[in-house]
Amino acid sequence: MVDVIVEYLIDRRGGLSPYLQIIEQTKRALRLGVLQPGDQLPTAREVVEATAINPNTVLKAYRELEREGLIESRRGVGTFVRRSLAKPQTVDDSALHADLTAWIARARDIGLEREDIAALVDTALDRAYPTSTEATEESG
Amino acid sequence: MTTALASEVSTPTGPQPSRQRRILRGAAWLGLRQERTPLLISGAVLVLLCGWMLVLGSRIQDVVESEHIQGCNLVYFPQQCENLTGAAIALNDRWSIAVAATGWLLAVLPVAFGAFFAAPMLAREFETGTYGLAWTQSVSRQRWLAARLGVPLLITLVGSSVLAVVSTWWTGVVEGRFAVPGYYHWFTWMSRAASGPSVVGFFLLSVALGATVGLLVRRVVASILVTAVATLALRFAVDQARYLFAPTREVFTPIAMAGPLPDDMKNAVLTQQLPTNTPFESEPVGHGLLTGDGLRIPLQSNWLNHLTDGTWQCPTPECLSHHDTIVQLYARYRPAGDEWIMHWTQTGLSLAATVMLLGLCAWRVRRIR
Amino acid sequence: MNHPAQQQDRPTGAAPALEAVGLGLQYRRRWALRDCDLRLPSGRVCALVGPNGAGKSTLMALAAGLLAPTEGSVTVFGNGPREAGSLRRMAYLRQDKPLYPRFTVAETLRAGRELNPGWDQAIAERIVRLGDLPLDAKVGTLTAGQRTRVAFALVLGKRPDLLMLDEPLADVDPVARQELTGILMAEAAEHGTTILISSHVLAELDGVCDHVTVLRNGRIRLSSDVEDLLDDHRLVVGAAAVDSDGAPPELAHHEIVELRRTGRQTTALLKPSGAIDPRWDTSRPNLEDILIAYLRTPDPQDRPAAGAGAQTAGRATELTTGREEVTAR
Repeated sequence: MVDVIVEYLIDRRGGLSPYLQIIEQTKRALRLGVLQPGDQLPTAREVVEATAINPNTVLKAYRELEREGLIESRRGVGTFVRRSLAKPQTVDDSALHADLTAWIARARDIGLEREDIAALVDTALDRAYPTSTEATEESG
Repeated sequence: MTTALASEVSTPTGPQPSRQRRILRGAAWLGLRQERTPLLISGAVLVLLCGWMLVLGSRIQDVVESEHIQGCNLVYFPQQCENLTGAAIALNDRWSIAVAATGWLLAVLPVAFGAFFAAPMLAREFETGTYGLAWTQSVSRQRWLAARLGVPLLITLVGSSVLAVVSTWWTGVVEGRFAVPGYYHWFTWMSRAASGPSVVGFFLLSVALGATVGLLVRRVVASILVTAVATLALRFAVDQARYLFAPTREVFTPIAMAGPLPDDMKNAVLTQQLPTNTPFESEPVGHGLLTGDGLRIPLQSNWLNHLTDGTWQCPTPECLSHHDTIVQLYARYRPAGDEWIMHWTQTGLSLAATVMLLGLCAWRVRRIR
Repeated sequence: MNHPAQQQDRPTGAAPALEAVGLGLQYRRRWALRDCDLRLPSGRVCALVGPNGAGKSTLMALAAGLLAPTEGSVTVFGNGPREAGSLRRMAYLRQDKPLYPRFTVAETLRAGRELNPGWDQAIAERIVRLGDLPLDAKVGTLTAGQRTRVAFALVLGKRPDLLMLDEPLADVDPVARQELTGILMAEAAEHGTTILISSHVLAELDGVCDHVTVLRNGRIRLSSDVEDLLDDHRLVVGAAAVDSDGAPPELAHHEIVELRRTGRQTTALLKPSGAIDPRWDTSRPNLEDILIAYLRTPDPQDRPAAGAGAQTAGRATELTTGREEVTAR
């Protein structure tokens, strides 16, 4: 048994399906460098025992991650990280962070509500990254 | 009880139980465990009752031997016992109530066992729904039933055999010695209900009947009542058929009957028992008079007026009208040796009924939906 | 431990875990279940949903062999439920969770061991220990939640291929509910166990089941893949002018599962065919929204006093092709 490196936290009340939550949380761990190439992912049994979600959901999420080339499953051994999503910028993103903080302060000063700001950000993100999570789910 | 339960709790129940400790496996273990408490209670009753019969029977036997009244009892009191009357009557006065109570207890016991042990067995499973637990395990309903009834039946067989040995001995000790009509002869009801293999048959029949009723009625209290009534009815039926294989014998004795008596003769008579010449301890079935041309005239009593000339006085008009042609006294009886035919018949009938009831259970359990 | 994906993908044989064909059960005059066609492929976690008295327990008891059908048939992995092989392969946790009250917890587990050749003492004991149940406690003295745990240990210790649970978590606390559901899912993940679980707490099924069957008045109202359900339905809200009691004209070409009106606002659960009018605010419903809509609206085929011979065409479909269910009408 290897130590469990990531732990999935499934939010049942949020609109996001457990399938997407697992994909998102894995990618986040890959981005943050919590998961590194060669690391073993928890088995479906371990995930579902901790989260009480359907095992097929976990397997489907793992299959999707494998399809994207992020992880690989080795027969009889387990599922392992193939490549990291951690980018140099992530390690030193203080400049971006400062920009964003300043930008949000400006938006608030001209009277925008929290929801308005979020909508603006969403729109900009959608424009910059056309393949949305929605599309991923539909294809799955 | 308490000690038994305590020992069960301390039984190791780890993931790897030692194989040696497991006397019973599979469904049989379940069958035994489920009836453990009632079986322990029944076992305690058995031990107490056997102990009581052994103690009381031994003391009666001691008195009989020390007072030398082996051949003298309340039913048979031959000439040589005349000066032992006191001892025989003292023995009766001392224990007749205890003996009668024991006789009743022995008679009631199989019925009570069927009603209070056997009837709730399956009825409770249905009342509490635990049958659904058992029927969704890996054993078939038939195997479950076999274990559920087989284990109690086997234990009943052993227990009732012990009881049969003790109560047969006990019956031999008390028979005829006490003013308890059920215990006068081998054929009187207390004696025939609680001695020999019949005891085993009656207990097995009660268990099978209680189980069947429980399976059909499916309610504990109702099953107890129905079982009690049904057991009594079936016991009565078996009792009625106990002589199925013991035909009566007949013995003939020459006799002379008197005609109508003159008035002055009527006081010169002595009431005496008819000399039926049936063997010792045989069960009288009927007697009467036989004419030369084969006519049978049954008599009610075997005590008639014996006249001084050696003839007997006719008790009925029919006898009077044929008195001059009557040549023989006939007596039908069953010899004492038929006791064992009777017991084996009772046992056989009980076992046959038991098998049929078990078959009914097996059929029924398959069809319950 | 083997890799779960392989466990899951192992060949499970041709016969479905549970298959009902024209299944019906009549209690005196009343049909508790009627015309039930259901096919549950192995390896699925299927929720059985419906109001009380809809026939959920009847369906399970029939599949477990405790009841015999009045008409039709039910098979478990291709065999009759009362055959010894079937008994070994399935476990059934009844709603009332019958246990022998005078047995201790340890003895109850021993009963499971004695009656089941494939008994797994480790998982059974683990479930019991996680609830801090003393092994020597008499079952009759336990709380309802503790008894549920023992009953769970009994069905999981049996290591079934088909596990049927009738309102299993109704009387356990939320922590234990999460934990027991987790164990259940873990068993399904490791052994590919097919699970049929009934509940009227819809929220507790979300994320747990990948299939869902809705029963209403003894008939199957809906039987479908959860993913298909989510993909096929849309919740639309709009201010619509409608003709007297019919649907808003711009929604007419969609199949409307449920339509509700409050003042000027109309809310509808649709199975869209083609694009939805952009004036309507469209969102993806969650499983609970969809199930409630189906539970609230009667099946158009649910006619009271339908004669015995009144056969309904396409009344229910296989779980895998559940989307035909509604479009068939």
